[in-house]
Amino acid sequence: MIKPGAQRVVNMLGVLSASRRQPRRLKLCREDIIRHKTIKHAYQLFTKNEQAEQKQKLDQQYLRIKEAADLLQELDPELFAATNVPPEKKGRRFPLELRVPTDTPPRTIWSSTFANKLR
Amino acid sequence: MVKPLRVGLLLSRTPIITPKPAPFLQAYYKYMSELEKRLMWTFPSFFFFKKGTLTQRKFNELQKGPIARNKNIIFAQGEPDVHFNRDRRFKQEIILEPDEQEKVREQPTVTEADTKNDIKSLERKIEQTLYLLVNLKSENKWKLPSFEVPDNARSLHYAADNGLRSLGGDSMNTWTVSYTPAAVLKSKDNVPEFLIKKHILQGVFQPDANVEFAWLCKNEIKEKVDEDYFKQIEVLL
Repeated sequence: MIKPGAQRVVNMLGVLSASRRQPRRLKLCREDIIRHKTIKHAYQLFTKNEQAEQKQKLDQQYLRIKEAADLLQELDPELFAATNVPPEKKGRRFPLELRVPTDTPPRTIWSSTFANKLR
Repeated sequence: MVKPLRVGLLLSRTPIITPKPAPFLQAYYKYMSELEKRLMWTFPSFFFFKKGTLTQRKFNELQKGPIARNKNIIFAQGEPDVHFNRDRRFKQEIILEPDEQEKVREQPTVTEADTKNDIKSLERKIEQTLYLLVNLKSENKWKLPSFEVPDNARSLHYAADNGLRSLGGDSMNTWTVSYTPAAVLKSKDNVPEFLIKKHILQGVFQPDANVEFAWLCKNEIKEKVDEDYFKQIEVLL
């Protein structure tokens, strides 16, 4: 019978120590290792393609923005100057009401009542 | 007097829930999580539940427990390797109190607006981004809302905002993503249309009777608008 204080230390060490709490080592045969590596490579390829697609889309969107800005500068320099004012200068803040997507939907999906107090 | 250009509006409702991962990703995540569970250390129940207490008994009663090793039995699939109430050859499954799990009730992802196919509702297709499309009875053509820019307009986004309020009422909260136009659309009458991006945050779009409107996702927009028009806005959606 050991003292309660000593028992506590034993318990804590049991949590930290690897002996008897580690699972048995995975022993994969050659075929299983190849299978595992194939899965890993497929995942890498999948994410790589996804990122490339996203980058291509962003590049295209940038070109559209540039095209619009160039045309606006040519047509109406005053309006073009107004688009280039940094939003922070006008005291504009990020809206608190903008909802970040969650894993599951909320109880009320959309708050349809809104009264504009500024106008 | 109006300027020789128009301002369009890409008003979007951002997704309410995160999209479901692709089938391949779901399978990959399952594989990795199972692998991780298999390689996880045994749960130290002796640390969390003191020996001889009621909580320990309740916890132990819920656990299924592994098959114990017995010298008189031949195990064809390999002998059990039990330590701390876990067979070390497999992953450990911890069972918690059932009523504790039942407390969490998820809301359905298919909403009432989805079943009714109500395209005027903002509660439909909560997994995707929705965009506002309007159809003026005078033109009879589905497109993004577009407005004339008055001669004394201070900026494009002001003109877009005023246009939106005059078309759809004042009972919505919107946020302009950027003052810079996202794109320019070219039409046959040679009047360029600059698109401003906005998000709707609260409230609803309520136009007059002579304006039809719809909140649609990318695939649905493709079916509603002209082919040339869709080609121009496809990259932005």
